[in-house]
Amino acid sequence: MREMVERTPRWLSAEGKFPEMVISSRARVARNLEGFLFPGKLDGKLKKEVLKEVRKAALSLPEFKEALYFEISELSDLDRVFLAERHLISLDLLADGEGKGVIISRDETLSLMINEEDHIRLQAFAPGLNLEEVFEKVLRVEEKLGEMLNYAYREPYGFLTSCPTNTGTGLRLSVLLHLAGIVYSKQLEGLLRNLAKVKVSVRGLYGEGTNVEGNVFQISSLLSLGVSERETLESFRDVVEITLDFEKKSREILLENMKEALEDKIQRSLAILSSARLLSFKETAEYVSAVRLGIGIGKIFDIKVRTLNELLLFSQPAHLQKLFGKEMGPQERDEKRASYVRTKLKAE
Amino acid sequence: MLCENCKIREAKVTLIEVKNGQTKTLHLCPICAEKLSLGLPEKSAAGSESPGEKAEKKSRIEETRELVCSTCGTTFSEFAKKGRFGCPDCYFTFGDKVKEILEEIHGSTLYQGRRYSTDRKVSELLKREKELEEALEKAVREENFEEAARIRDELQKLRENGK
Repeated sequence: MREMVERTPRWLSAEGKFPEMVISSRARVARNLEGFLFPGKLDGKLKKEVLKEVRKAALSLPEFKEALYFEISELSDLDRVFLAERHLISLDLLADGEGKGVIISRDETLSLMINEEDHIRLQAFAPGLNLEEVFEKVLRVEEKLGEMLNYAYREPYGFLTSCPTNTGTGLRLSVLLHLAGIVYSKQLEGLLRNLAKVKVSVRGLYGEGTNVEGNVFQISSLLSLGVSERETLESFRDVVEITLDFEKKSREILLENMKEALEDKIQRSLAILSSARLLSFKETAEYVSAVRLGIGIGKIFDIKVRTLNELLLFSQPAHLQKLFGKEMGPQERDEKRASYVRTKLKAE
Repeated sequence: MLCENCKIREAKVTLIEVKNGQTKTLHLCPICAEKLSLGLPEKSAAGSESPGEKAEKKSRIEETRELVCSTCGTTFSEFAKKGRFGCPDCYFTFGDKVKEILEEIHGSTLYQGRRYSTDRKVSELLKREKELEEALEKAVREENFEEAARIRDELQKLRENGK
């Protein structure tokens, strides 16, 4: 894990389409093995058997060549949170329990959680708007795994999952969107109302039940029955496109009606990030969002989106502690965070 | 084990009934289980009950009769409370109620995804893909880039046809 600490995962590299508005794209499938109870009901010994079987199959694939493998029970609390901050494991997986594990590809674009809510939760990540890539990748690996494992698949429902919200294809697509224009122009409610109609969910930075920080929203597809995998991709792509159009329009309106106030907010935020001596994560995320918007509307040129992604990643509590190589309380973290942000921006 | 009610179909569900403090366990097929868990007692106590009394009695009886998945022990009320199935068999144990829930969530109960063959035969296509991937890796390792380019094209064609 030590080598992961200083590295930025590829999905935060800001390489894809619209990296300032779309931080990353993700696809995941949920699968279970026939012949075992779902993890919620499975005893520890059998969970370990599932873990062993899935791990063996996954590690034989080229996609998981030289992959990292962690058993959750063997990780410290800090390491668990570190992986969750990188979105490689869910908050559900990080809780204590026997027989849980995660396999992570070298470039961190694939993660396979074992014995989370389902036996298998396979996820693919990509930077920017790149739903096609993550969609193809997750289904390709799922298919190969399915040749070696025996998935719980029965007519008339398709793939059977622990939660009925995933029954069928078990597929969910999601994007992390930066929607500062919509938030600043106070149109968030309107967006949420529209999105509720099209069967997608809107959540915070780390998914279900988490807060929105720095105007970053996770939008996910919801349906897995009555639609094919490709239909899910196409309709979700439309929803994302409409949301991005809404964001672009909101920015135009802001520029028309309150140009000075907006520019002031952006430059002030950059100034605070560049010189503050104490910064909480929440504050950092807010100022980073304003600077990010500044890049989006062509007011800031000398800072890369990738740098802002890194600021957000390493400002998180576990990342910060890993980066400085020691455990720190909230106060010390605020100090180190500010120092990290200052140094990073000075280097730009 | 055969269903203790119809004695025709295989028993897959356990119905626990609590009456006057006595627990009775019945092993049933999903069809009889559905019928019995929702139905009124076979013998009505008296014909003089008001509709209100009848409804009250029905709800009381429903409360004490519970569907249990005999594979994992999950009861229907446990599923209703947590929203999680315990195993694949729960989907069929809880019968039409599962259909209703899926319909409510997805607006459909019809699976439209890719077919999955459960006989675990390695398809020729996937086997070939794996071979090619290994050959590609080898060619790159040996810096045989012409060969690598050829294999990459073949792989691409294979993946496109496989869709």
